[in-house]
Amino acid sequence: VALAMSPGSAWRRIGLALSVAALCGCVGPARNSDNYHGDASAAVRSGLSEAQTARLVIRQFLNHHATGEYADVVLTDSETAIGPIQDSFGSRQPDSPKDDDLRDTITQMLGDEEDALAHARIAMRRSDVAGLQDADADLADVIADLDKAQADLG
Amino acid sequence: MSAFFAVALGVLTAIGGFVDIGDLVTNGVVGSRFGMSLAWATVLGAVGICVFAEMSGRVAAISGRGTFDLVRERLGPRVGLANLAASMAVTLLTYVAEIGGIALALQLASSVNNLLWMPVAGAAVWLVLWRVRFSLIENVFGILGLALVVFAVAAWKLGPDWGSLIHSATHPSRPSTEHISTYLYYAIALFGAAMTPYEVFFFSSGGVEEHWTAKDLKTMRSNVFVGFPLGAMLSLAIAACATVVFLDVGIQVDTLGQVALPVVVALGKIGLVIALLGFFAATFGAACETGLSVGYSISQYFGWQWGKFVEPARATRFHTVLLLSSMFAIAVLLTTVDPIQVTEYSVVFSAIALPLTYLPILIVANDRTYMGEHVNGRLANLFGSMFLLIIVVAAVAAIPLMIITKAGE
Repeated sequence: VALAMSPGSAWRRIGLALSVAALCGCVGPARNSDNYHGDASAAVRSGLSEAQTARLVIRQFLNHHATGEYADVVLTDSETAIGPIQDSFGSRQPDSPKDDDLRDTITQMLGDEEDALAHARIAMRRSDVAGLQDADADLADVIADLDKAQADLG
Repeated sequence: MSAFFAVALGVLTAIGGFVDIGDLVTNGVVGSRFGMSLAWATVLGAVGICVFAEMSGRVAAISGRGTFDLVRERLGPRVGLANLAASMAVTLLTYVAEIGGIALALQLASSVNNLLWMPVAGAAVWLVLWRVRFSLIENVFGILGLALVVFAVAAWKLGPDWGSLIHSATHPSRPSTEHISTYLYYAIALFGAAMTPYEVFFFSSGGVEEHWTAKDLKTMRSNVFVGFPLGAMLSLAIAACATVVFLDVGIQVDTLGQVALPVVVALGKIGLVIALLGFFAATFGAACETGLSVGYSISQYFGWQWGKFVEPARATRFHTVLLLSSMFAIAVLLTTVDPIQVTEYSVVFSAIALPLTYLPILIVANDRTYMGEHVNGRLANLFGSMFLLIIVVAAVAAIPLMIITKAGE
């Protein structure tokens, strides 16, 4: 059959296969509780990454290892990154009501992180050392919460 | 003595010029997520670029003609056009990424938003391409790019467990948190970043610009076989720094600022300034190389006068291509597209376009009509064929892996 196939038909089939493959990449996976926990885990991992980055750069700045300009850019990047992480996770549909608590917890943590990053950015632009130390402490709390959530999610 | 300095300068330039925005970002991302377990992909890419850069440099030195000039003549206008279109699409994307990289480096130094720097960076690159001598472009940014050695110093200063780092590099194993498809996707990205097509276009066309002959083959080979591997060591140093500082605390690199953070931790403000200088030089130099590569390739294919060795007034179409490419790059970046994402896509698309770039070079390097006694030997053909096979596998696997992993998420 393959040998009898015309070149045009072969190209159409290849085109169809590529289209299906592309569509499979666009369409989300079937929803179930495991998927939702996977999404939560990914959101926590990304949130943790941004919080750790922010803490590291704040400590470098407070130790006079980083310039204010550089620290400001890195903090702003972390703050900017949190929005899409929140939006992406918030747009996911929990499969069952028992996942609603998980949704609320993760959303709350990411919201707290966004607040802490905003405080850090404001303090950095004002060269407010006390404000940065407060933001550092807030971020330490956020990291502890996210670490616990990550451990619970497995 | 002047010959010694010529070789030394060429090697230093090759080291400094090896790393571009693709290498900076990809090595930072990979180090933070996979540790040194993908070092093999960088080494493989470095060997591959050495094989094909030597081949294309030899073709330029012996024939005195540019790559696309020969490809069109040897393989015909249709195959030549397909080759040109694929290579140019990737090189133009890389040009966009490099100009974005300059803007990001300037933002890190000034905290002025990168969108404001993008037109400045694009215009500055175009001005340099228009006004500055070829040798000056090549040498100044290549030498300044050596500032990235600060990553090797930082890696040493961080005092890692070298045994563990070397073990993970020589005994690659995928971290349990990462899926095999993501691991392979980033292997292809690292391979594509090391073997970006523009490097070969620039290297061979640069040979024509500098009027290489058979006498220059030794210098060319020392640049390739010493300079490029040492340049690849810088890539590994960036990955090692990211591994030491980020892997255990769960930081995943997604900005250029994060790539510099291990240097800040190890060396403080002085290290940061040197790293930012290195970022600027590496991206500016690579922007010049990619911009020129676009102009070289299109002009060579259509048979226009090209190159920096003639007055701009005598190569108007070549310089018009440079101007239009720069305007295109600025326009794309001003859409607020993330330059880091452009970079990540450019290295993977590079891998996809590699067969179309390297197969014609292998064919021309085997043609006695052009090469005479300098035609490929057995060793060059063995390595060339072997790498062509790897390149084809990487190119075929790149798109499916990109879809499956959602571009490495």
